[in-house]
Amino acid sequence: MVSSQVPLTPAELQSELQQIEENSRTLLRVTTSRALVAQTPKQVIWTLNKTRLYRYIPVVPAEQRHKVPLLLVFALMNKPYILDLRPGNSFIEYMVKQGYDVYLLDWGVPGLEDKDLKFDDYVLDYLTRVIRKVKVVSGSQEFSMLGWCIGAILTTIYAALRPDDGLKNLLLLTAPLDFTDKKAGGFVRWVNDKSFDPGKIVSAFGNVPGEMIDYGAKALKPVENYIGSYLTLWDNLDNPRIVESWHAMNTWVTDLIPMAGATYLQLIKELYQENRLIQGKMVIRGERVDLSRIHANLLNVIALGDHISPPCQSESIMTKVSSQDQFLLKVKGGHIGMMAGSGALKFTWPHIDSWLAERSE
Amino acid sequence: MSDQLETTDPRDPFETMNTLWEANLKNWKSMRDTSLESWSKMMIDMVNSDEYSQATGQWLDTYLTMSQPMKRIIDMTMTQVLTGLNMPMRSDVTSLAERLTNIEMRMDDQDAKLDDILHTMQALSSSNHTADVSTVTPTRPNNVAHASGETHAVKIKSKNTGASSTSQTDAVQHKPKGEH
Repeated sequence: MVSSQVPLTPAELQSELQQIEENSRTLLRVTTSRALVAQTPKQVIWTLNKTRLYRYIPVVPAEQRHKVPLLLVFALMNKPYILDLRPGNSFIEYMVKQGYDVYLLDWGVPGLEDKDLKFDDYVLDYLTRVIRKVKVVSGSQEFSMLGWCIGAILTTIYAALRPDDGLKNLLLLTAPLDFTDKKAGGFVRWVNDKSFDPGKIVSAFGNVPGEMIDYGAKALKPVENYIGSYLTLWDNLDNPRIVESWHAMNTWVTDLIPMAGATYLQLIKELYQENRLIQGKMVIRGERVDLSRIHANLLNVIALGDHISPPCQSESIMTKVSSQDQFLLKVKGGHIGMMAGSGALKFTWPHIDSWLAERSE
Repeated sequence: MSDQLETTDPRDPFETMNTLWEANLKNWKSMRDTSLESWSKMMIDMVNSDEYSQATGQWLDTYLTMSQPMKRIIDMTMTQVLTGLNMPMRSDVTSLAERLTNIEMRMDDQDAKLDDILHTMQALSSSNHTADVSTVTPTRPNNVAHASGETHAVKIKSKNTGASSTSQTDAVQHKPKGEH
């Protein structure tokens, strides 16, 4: 932040110095402290190992609420509070106000004892139990499930393995499912290079460090992530709305968690390299994941500017499932911005709500 | 910039200086943003190249290969030291954590069975019209706690927002099955 006026009088100079001091303090605060995030009132209703299931306190009277509960499943390598970033910019807060009974699955931070956890375990041991609990607490045998990023892989696998378990609506956000195009995006290129050995990473670290995953994500757009983001902050230091929004997002971006080694190995080898899921060749504890068994109503949301899961990785699921009611929604924005950016409240969230509302009665 | 200079009183050096400063700042920001944009495009092209993939893969491979012997030595030394001090090793702690998770899973299985039993009992009691329902209907504290949240009554928001915003974007495509 540079003043557009040269101070001419002692009073102006003093005011300018005060402004500089205040900006420096703001800069230091937002780059070194954690913002208040995840403030929508909730209660823990179930735990297993590091995993927690939250139920958000409804704010709409029971008789006006949608009958089908909504379970949110986020990725494994980031904290799920991106869905409840801060008041006024929270998808969860929005959906609770729209009358949904919202549940959030927090996978927690895997320890070294969790390094052998695979998709098999996350889907069949954890997700299955979570869904059982959602049904018991909500009193509904039907439920909607929203999966974002790796969470979309998990929910897709579940929907294919347990199609008659009451899943009424399946919502996929930026789902990396189809890796046919080996040139689509940096990740696919990097992990398909013959010198890249995921087994070596896992045997060296056990769990893949959060810093390594973070570097991978940031390196896809290095200038924006390492320089552009800070310049945006610098240019807007006198705008509290932008500063606080930046602070909350920075808190989430720097809140890194590792990924269970066996899951990482499975993700890279079976999905990114061998593309088994979309080809119907993926096997989860002896059961083949057949996407044509999915018959739940499907909303597939794709971010047009997604550089982490390019649109081509998410689109083809529409032709693989048996769902009679399916909708492909393309929105502007990136992998995260689509749901947590300034435009989400205007475009993405109302679309999700309007689609889900008429299918939640 | 020339327009701005025209409005400046040429006899006031401070005002001229301010105008120049402002114009220079704008130009500098514009230049900065333009150069960052082109730099960004160049870097994105670079990280999406096969050469970058090869270089990263090779660097990572070298790092992991080189660091492994040292890691093994540290692990062995730590194991010996902890054993000598009669203290638990990492493997002891992780195996304990694994056992705890197994116990938690067994407890969750029991919880599921209990829910099934309660559900069956509730169904039975509700089907028995002659029985005194209030004395036989089982409840669980867990479900009572959730009902407490339902007292927070807030006016429901209009659900028409989605429909109106749909018309604001042409990026929405409805693709019925079979049209892909």
